[in-house]
Amino acid sequence: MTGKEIRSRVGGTLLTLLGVSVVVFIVLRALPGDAITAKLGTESGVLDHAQRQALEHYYGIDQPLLAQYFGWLRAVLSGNLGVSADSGQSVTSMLAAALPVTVELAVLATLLGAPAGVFLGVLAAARPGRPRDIGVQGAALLGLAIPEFVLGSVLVAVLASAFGYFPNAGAFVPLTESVSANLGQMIYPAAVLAVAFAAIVMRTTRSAYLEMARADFVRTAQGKGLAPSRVRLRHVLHNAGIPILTIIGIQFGYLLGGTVIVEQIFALPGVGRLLLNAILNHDYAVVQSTVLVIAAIFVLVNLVVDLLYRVLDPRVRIS
Amino acid sequence: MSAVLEVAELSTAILTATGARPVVRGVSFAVAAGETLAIVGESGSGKTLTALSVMGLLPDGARVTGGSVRLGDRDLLGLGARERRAVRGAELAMIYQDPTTALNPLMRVGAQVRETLRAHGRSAEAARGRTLEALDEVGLPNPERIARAFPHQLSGGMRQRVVIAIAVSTRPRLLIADEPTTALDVTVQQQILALVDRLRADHGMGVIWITHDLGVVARIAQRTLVMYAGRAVEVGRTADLYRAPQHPYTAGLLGSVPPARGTQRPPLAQIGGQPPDPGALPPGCPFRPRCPQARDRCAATEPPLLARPPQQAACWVPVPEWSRAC
Repeated sequence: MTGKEIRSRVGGTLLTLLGVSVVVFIVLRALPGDAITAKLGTESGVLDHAQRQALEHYYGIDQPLLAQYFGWLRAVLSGNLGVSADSGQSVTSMLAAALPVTVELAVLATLLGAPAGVFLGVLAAARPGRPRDIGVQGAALLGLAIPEFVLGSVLVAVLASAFGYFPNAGAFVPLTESVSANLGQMIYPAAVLAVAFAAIVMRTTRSAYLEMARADFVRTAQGKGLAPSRVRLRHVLHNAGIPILTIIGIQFGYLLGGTVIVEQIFALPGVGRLLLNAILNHDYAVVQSTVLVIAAIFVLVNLVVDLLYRVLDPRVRIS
Repeated sequence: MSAVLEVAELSTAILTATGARPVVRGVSFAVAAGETLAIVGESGSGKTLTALSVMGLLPDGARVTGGSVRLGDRDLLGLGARERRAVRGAELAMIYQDPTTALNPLMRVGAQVRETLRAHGRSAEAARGRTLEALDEVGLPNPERIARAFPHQLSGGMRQRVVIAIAVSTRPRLLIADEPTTALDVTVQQQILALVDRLRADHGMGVIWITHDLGVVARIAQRTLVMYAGRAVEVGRTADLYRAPQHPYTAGLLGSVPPARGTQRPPLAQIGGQPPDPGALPPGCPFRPRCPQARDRCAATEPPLLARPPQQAACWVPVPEWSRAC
């Protein structure tokens, strides 16, 4: 990348994040209720005026919205993501505990889903319109159609009844403590996420492959007398790589944003659960900063994908 | 001269939901070692599908339905997929119309030449050496540098030279050139034409040059086959075809080329109308609706390729008879 490109990329990224921060801030305050009602529930109704003012001052919600917003922004820029009104923990430490779980889940789901999706996509596209293609496409549609909560619940039920195994019975074991125990807990939720992942990647792979298979250079490759497997991998699939990589990057980015339902079903203390609990508790600081961090990660993943294009396609490399 | 390639009664059809649409109908020709045969016709005349049938590269849905394609003493149509691949790229090679799309954009040029050689049994080292030789042979300067380049870093003419280098790297006995100059600048066209002709002469390679441009044909082809609606309508030495075209379609094509000084202008100035849809050929001669001299007989029976010395033409009322009739 040239210096100019880098500057415009970084500038665009910062603008995106600024926009995200405004939206999150406004949406959160547009929700009915506030930190006080979340904390005290119906009891907040019996607070007298002075008590309420004191609490509002404590939570910092007595200040004008603009002041609240810029106060938060200033803190974030100085590396302070805020403190949870609910638990009193710093958001940084909460994210430090939750992010590794979500990142691991996303990586596992991608490692399972992406190769399966590419493999099935090529399998389907190599014989378009034939039973194999129709079978794979049908399976993908099913994989997309079944919601994660159904797939996850069924998986938990089957594991429990058939094998007497309860993936969410014990406490969560971090990867750093025991790799095998951790993977034993993570593999099932990862597999649930991988189903839809593979289905989406399969569809993109299939259409990109079919488009590339019609290209003139594929006929040139066949005209050389190359083995069909080499034509498929080296010429067709390689050229179909950019849309496939793009969709994998986007999906991976989504997963990094937390997978609320699957984390909930499998009782994983990831970012999705952190965010869900924070929203339920009107824990402004946690929601705001977590969403901002998720957005930053998403944008970063996209940047990495952009850089990978350059590895994949020499035409992007020069400019 | 011994024939490198002998095609007899080749028929190819595109299979559709409503049945087979014949696109190549009983075409026969031979190419000798060191000879260039031009196949001429409008788009849709079946010339490219004839070439792809010979190569075994027909698109999905198209199939050879009859005839034989003999390369030396083997009938290629009788070979299995693996044996056919061993011939393709090694003994039979092809160059294509558009060099910008004929090369893989993500592979270095050298790798694209090398993989051909590797597929046909050269060792990695031999393939590397031969790749540089081939790039040099097609007149590319600094082959080492070109081998490391990606296609988008080269000009159109250079890319076509690369495509030619891929084709001739294995020293094929026959090269099929499917309008390889159409997409290029006029000056580059001449260079590519001269290059293929030099390679033919140097290595005794047979060449089939497919084109709709008769100016090209006159310069390089010893013999010419004119195709119309999937059939050969006139075959002969190029010089004879030019001097006295027998089929009104050939005459029409020649009429649409500015005549060289001193040659007699053929009687037709242009060909009106459109070539017929291969799925709905008119009864009798398929050229009849566009022919200025069609007779009752032309509507009744499609003429076979008849001897019209010194060439052959598929016409009941060949052009030289018109002047007598008038």
